[in-house]
Amino acid sequence: MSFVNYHTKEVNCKIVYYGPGLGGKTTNIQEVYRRTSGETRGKMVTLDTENERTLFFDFLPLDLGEIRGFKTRFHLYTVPGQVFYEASRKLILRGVDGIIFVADSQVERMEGNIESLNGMVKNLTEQGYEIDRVPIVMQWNKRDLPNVSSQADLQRQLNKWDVPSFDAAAVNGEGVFETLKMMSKLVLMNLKGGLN
Amino acid sequence: MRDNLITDLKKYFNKNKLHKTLAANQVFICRGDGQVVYKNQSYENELDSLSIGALIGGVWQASSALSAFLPETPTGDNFRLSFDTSSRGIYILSCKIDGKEYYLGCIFTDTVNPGQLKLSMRELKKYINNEFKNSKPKTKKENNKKPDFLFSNISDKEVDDMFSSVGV
Repeated sequence: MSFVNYHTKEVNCKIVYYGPGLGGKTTNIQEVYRRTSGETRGKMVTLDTENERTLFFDFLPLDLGEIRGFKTRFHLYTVPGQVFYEASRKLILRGVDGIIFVADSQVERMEGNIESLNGMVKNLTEQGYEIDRVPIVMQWNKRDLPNVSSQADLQRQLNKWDVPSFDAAAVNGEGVFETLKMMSKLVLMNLKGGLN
Repeated sequence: MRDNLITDLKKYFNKNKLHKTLAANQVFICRGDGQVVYKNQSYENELDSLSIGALIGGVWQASSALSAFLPETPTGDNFRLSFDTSSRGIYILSCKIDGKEYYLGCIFTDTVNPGQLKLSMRELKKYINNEFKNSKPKTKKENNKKPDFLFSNISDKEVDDMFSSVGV
């Protein structure tokens, strides 16, 4: 849940990168960390395994500039993608303001994408969210690899809500900020005017 | 709904000073999503406190999920989370503000008597639970003060400008 402070004119929002294992969620926020300047972002917290698979979450706090007089602060989280970390994913979704679903474009990963997406919908519903009221952006990652599904196929199988989608090759930084910018816009426009 | 919890907590702690063992260390109150609503110390990079909030929230919730595997007891247990040595560590409790769960955390170092510090934390929890039991409901007029949405029709240029300040 976002936090709007009218006294200090500051808004805080929680954005979660969700998606199947090895889809590029951590790579996305590593790229955000790499390309943003030191004073505007905090330390990147990574709770991972010895082989660098996300164990609990990655976290990156990011101070963006002002919008209409309000200072904006985004809390970027990733969930662990591996199937058996469902309990952790549920916890991390608590209080989420917007979700970037990072899909792996490779043909053989379509089933994993669908499974992860279904899990996301289930977890959100269980926590009382109405899926069509949560800002979601789809990212078709790994477009630089051979043997990727067509955009049309990804749209048809994964984007039934017709939310904004972006091609990306996060490992090269492509599409990372385009996705985050759209997410930020949707989340800010979804903020309720009342105080928290 | 409270008008401004951060301000209310600040006022409360200006009036009711933290016990000296706590004041010498880092005390936090944060929401379930890791949003910090009170901290007693400032940081060179203020964003570091957000990381601490995210971790306090995460570690409590993970532990709480684990506790579901404990056999149920007839009395309601008040869990406490400790990760410490004999002189430094982390101590987290849950507290209630306006009926919602918050986490009260302390990161302590060079502490001669951690037991006393933990006792002070548990007392602080009681005070917070009592003081912030519930706020006055907003009047209809107050509720009508703010628009439904804080922003509407944000342009791409505004978003680009926002990101340009971080060097993107």
